[in-house]
Amino acid sequence: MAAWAVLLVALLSAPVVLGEGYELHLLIVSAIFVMLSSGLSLIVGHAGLLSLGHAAFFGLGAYTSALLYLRLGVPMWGGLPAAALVSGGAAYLIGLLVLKVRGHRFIITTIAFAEIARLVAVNTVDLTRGQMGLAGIQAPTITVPGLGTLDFGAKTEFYYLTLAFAAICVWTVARIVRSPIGWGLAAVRENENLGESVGVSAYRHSMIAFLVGGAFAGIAGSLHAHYMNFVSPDLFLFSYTTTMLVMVVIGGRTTIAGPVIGAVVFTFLPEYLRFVHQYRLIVLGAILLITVMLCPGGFVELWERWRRRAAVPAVGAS
Amino acid sequence: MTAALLAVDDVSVNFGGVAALRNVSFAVPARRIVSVIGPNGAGKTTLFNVITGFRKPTTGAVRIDGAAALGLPPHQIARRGLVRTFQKTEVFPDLTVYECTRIGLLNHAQPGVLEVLFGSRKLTQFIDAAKTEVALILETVGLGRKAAHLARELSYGEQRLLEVAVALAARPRLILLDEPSSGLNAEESLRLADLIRRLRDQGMSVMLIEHNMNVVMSVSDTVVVLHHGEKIAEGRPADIGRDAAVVSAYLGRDWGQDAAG
Repeated sequence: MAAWAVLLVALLSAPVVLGEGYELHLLIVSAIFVMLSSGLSLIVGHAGLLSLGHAAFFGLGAYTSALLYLRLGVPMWGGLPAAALVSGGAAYLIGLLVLKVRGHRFIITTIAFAEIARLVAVNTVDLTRGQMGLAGIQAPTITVPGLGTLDFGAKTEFYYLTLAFAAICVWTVARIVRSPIGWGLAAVRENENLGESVGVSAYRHSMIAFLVGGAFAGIAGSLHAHYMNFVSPDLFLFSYTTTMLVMVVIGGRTTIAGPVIGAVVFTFLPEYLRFVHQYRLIVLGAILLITVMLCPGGFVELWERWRRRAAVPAVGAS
Repeated sequence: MTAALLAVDDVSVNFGGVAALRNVSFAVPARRIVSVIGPNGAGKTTLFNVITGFRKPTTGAVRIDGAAALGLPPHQIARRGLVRTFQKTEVFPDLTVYECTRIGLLNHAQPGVLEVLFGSRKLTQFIDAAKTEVALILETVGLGRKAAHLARELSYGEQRLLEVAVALAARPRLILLDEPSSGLNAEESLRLADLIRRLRDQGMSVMLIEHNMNVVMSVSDTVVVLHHGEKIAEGRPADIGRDAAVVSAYLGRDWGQDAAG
């Protein structure tokens, strides 16, 4: 309880402590990635389905929100739910096509989908301006009559907004994972045939994970678009997907906290590794490799091991 | 006449040119223990796969309560009350015994996402009832003290029992056990036979693939004998033990002498 209170106070006081500087920017980006990694952990971690196209739902959400704003003047309050619907809907359609077969076909289809989405964004120049991207996507405002206007264009306001959405996503994932749906997801991950034989539909559970994960990525995309004020086809790049995967796997893919910690660490770490310039990616790759080899359960497993060792001191190796 | 719980009608399965099952028919009524015996490769497990939706037969039909069940995915077969175990032990390795068994309960409740997010009285009741039901099932199979252990840490015999526990949690009307006594010692086999009889007394039907003839002969109401994919005999255990074709194909001449002596 005390730890939660400390965390809550730390998160809420961050803009006061840090000011509106680069660290606050990184926290906002972290929160956006928390939505992506938590959603992806449902698919990759809890259901055990390797999806390599998560960036597609992110990009799709960003473009949906951006186009609604720029072409039709719809503010983010309309664009964000629309982004969730479009990304969730796309996840549903792809799920219909491939979740019945799964395996290699599933993995390849997810990659292909992300690439197709990117090519559409590049080539429908009339609508998306292609590689040039779309600029001028403003953050939303709330006007309360008599009290004034809250402008989310400022970093502090946008930070609280993103934090709230990230919290909702993590709460949703936690509720699902700890419910009977979560038991079913574990069955699909651990032994699909055995699950099926006692009435657990692998298709239904995979679809729930895929749909929720897709919708969260759409929300993250919308927030990203209105925070950066800019979208480009780069949002669909495979490197975004790998970043999300690293956050999920190294954080701890079947835990709630893991993907959250992973998102924060792998948003900040690359920034602080800038001094090693071109070796940055190599260092990141090495961290990934070592973690997967020595501690496949990620940061959370590492923490639990350390705690157990601290609790039972000086026991010889068995 | 009411339809049998399970009816297998003229089922054939061909793998390439090889016939794994040839025109097999039989029925399982309610509250009966039906054993399927036969040499390795006789098609026993293939038969289970067909019944439970894991394999489509080349021809033939499977009916549950008189309704066609062919082409349904395994989880739909389970929903209709037919639950199987596997020849090669299958568990959820990284879950605890408690968590594994709980998964079987999903056969009776599939809450939706909104129900899970915002809660409902039905869901709360289901989750509360799950705790007691799982505890009861684990006591029944004798794994009560292992509830907190990971499935992969159990001994082979315990894993087989866990598989039965998971199946029981699905509350089957017909449980299909594929060689449940393999890997069990004599005492464990006796306990298994006892458990199978208790299940029938509680109103369940049991289909059993079994090589341990002591178990087969002591618990079965009916024995079905498969040989090269064909049903060569069906009857009460005592009659099957005396059937010339069965003795030569599977039991061996010694069996007849044992039974006589």
